[in-house]
Amino acid sequence: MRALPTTLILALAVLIALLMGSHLANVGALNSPFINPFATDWHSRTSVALTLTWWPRLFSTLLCGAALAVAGVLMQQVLRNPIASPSTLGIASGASFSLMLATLYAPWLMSFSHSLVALAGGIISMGLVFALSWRRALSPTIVVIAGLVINLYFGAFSTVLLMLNQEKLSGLMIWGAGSLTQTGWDNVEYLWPRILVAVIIAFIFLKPLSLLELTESGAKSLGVSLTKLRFICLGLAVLLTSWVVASVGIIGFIGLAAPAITRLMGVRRLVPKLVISMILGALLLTLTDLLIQLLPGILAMVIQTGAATAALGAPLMLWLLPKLTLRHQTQAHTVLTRHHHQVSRLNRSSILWTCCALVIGFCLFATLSVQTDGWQWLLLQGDWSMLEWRVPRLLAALLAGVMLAVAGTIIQRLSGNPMASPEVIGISSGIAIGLIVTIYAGLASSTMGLYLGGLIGALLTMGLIILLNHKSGFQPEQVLLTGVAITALMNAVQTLILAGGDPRSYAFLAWLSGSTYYVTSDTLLPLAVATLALVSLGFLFSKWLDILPLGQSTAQSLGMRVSRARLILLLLAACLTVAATLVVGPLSFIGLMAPHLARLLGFSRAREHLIASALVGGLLMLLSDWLGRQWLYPQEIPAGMVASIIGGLYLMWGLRRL
Amino acid sequence: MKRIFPYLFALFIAFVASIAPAQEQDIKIAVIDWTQVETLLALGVQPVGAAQIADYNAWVKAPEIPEGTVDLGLRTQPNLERLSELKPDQIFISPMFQSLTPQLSRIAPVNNITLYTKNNVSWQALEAYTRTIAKDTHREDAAETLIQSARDTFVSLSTQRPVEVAPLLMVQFMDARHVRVFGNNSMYKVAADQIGLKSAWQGDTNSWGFALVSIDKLIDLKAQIVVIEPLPAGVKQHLEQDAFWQYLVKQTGYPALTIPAVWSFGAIPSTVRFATLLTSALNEEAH
Repeated sequence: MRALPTTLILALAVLIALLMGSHLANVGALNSPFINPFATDWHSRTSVALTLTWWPRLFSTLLCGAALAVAGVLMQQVLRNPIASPSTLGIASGASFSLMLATLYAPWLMSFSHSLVALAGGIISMGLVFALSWRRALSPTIVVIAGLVINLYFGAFSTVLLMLNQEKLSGLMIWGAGSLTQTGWDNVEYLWPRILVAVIIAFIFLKPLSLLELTESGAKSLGVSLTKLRFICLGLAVLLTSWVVASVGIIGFIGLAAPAITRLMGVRRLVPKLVISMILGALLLTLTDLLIQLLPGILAMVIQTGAATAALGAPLMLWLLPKLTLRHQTQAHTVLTRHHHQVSRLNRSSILWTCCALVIGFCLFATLSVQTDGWQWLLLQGDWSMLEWRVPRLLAALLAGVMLAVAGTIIQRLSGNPMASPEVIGISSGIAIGLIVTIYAGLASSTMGLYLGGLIGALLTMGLIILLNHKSGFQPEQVLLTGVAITALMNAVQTLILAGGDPRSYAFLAWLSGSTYYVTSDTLLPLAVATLALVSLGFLFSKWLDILPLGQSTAQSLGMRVSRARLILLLLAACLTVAATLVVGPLSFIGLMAPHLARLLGFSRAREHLIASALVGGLLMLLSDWLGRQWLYPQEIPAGMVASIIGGLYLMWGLRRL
Repeated sequence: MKRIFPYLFALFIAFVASIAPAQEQDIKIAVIDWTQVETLLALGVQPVGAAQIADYNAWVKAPEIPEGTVDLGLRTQPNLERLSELKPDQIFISPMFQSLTPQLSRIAPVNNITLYTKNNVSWQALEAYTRTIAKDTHREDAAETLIQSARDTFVSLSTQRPVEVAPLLMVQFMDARHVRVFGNNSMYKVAADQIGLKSAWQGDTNSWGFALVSIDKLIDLKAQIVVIEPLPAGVKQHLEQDAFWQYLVKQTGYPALTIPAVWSFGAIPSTVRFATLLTSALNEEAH
């Protein structure tokens, strides 16, 4: 059993040694006095390049890789979630958001200390996650959901800032893609003592931590204070990640991949798991970085290592997935199937009232708006030609909101995972990749070309999801992991492009952030038909959606063919997402939020859950589209971003009650 | 001697601006692309609407957008309701914003004018671009005056600059460790060419004339480093302490020059501005 990890580590180490050797031989440093990494000979160009850039870079990759892997192991252990990783708690997005704010509004802070700002942002977002989940004793599910919400929240705000200030923030995009370029030893000197202390503390807490492998009550009966333990271990993980993020930028995937590979090789006990993950993380990042340095400059841009690890790691993850045996996530079910004491019943009159609210809201939003001369109400002002612009956008927002909400409800009930949504399982990301390819292939001249590109992207992703998951019978955790990998790939491509500084990337960002800007009355009819057809299909399957969250065995004993039902529901959700995404862009997060909101309102039976979340989704998107056009008039904030900002607030408030 | 250059530039602007009231405002134009905005203003056309006016005035700086031009919002998504209220006769865009065409053409005819594409940017292209815009706004005379006065400025600048100047490595810092280095297809290189200077960057560049590189890639270049502002917050302090950057500058044999911000993707007005600032910085160093 122990042979496999040793072989892999040796193989990686040999590869790295070869690459290092070939670089040193190339610059002619092998048989010269320049070989010492710590002594700079200022008269030799080779020596300066080696000791001030190459060696520091090598050491920082080793340190960062190890730190991220340790953080990943700690998080996955504490949260008992194989897809938890340093990015789950919103550290990277918090750090990135605080850097943006500082750049725009307090440049003196950036002059004072760049990494301190990032560190503060990461720690504040961790504090928020802890505050939101404190009442439930930092229960793993709540922590993961809180992390997700914080992530979305900061992500939405950052995208808005980025759209409004593209020139000022373009430098930060490089940091966001994780550049490991070094020009001295200061990063290494900053990182190594901190990481060393954190790893030693982690080892001290390993024993109580391994008790968490037992059930929660088992650990409690052994006298372990769960809250304290979770707080310390998550805190350590967050600090490790923040230090890395603050000094070199966002590096994707190592924190997820290194522990996953270790688990895959059959390492079960915690101590060897931590040690092997740490070594693997360090070696993987270093190897990637050495390979990246061999690449010549492509298309006049640098390939940043952080984004590259994510891009390379995603296919690796997809390949590993079918081999990964997952424990069932009993945790997630407790939240999702927990019935509220007073289950709300939808009756005809409340549906009627909500529909009335929708119609009134629609009329109000269509007629009331900021114009050049300030607030105007069309009834008084009479410039009805404005409706030509507003009505299609509002209608499209409404329909897209309904479709995404239904898709989200289906996926959450299907997977029994409250983290799931069309955005999370990767369909939206597939569409985004399709769009990127279309724009960069120069086919974006027509909106039709963009639609087609997005559709092809979605279909390919669907194909991939089905191909990778049909053997496991569409196991919810597997499907989610597939989505995480595809999303990571999309994020990597996106950050690479934004970091390249190509001015075109902002057109793409505008598309990506979910706006109804491109809707015309011609696109409305197909959208309405699609909504009607697909949503009614969703209601036809509502019985399955009642049974599936009860678990596979229960469903089978009730005479259901589980795999087939999952496949059909997945396809339906994908079609809903494609139709909605092509109109409002892939990043709206309505699909995640609307079902949650409906559940917080107390609807938990499938039919009622569907209706309630569809109404919530529609209403939220309607409001968001209108608000997004008024808020910073004449600049427009995409509806999807506003929805994330409004809905995220409510989700945070609701989380306290969950 | 070095005091002359700001005046020279002011003279150029004043000269160009004096053409403006000569003709009646006859055509209502809304502009999305900043390169077109600066060209239009230099031709004496005041657009009825332009995108991101405050950001334009901060980044392009000159010629400034006068009061009376309405802000259209983001360049990537100009406000359609406001545009339709303005009722422009024509909307100018560049290929970067091509995906807006279906929506914009519902308001007014869309005029898509290209400057920054692969292997296109040169002084001839800048002239042709200016003439195209002039033709569409009936300002052919103003265009000829603008081009001629720019040429004259270049001639006088090239006699006034130091005789011996190493090839220029024109960079703009993105963060403390990464720069955009400008070469082929960039407006900065056109400006340098026009006053008889060379660009040191022979590597690939994108359609906007720059390549994004980390500064460790600059180690072998023998060139006069020209840093174009703005420097991101904190970068100045970092560079003062960074031994590698100090070494990099030292091995070129010349101190690094710093030049006030000029819009990197500009047309003739920015080119003239850059050439003027470059010459005065070079002269200052020589003294």
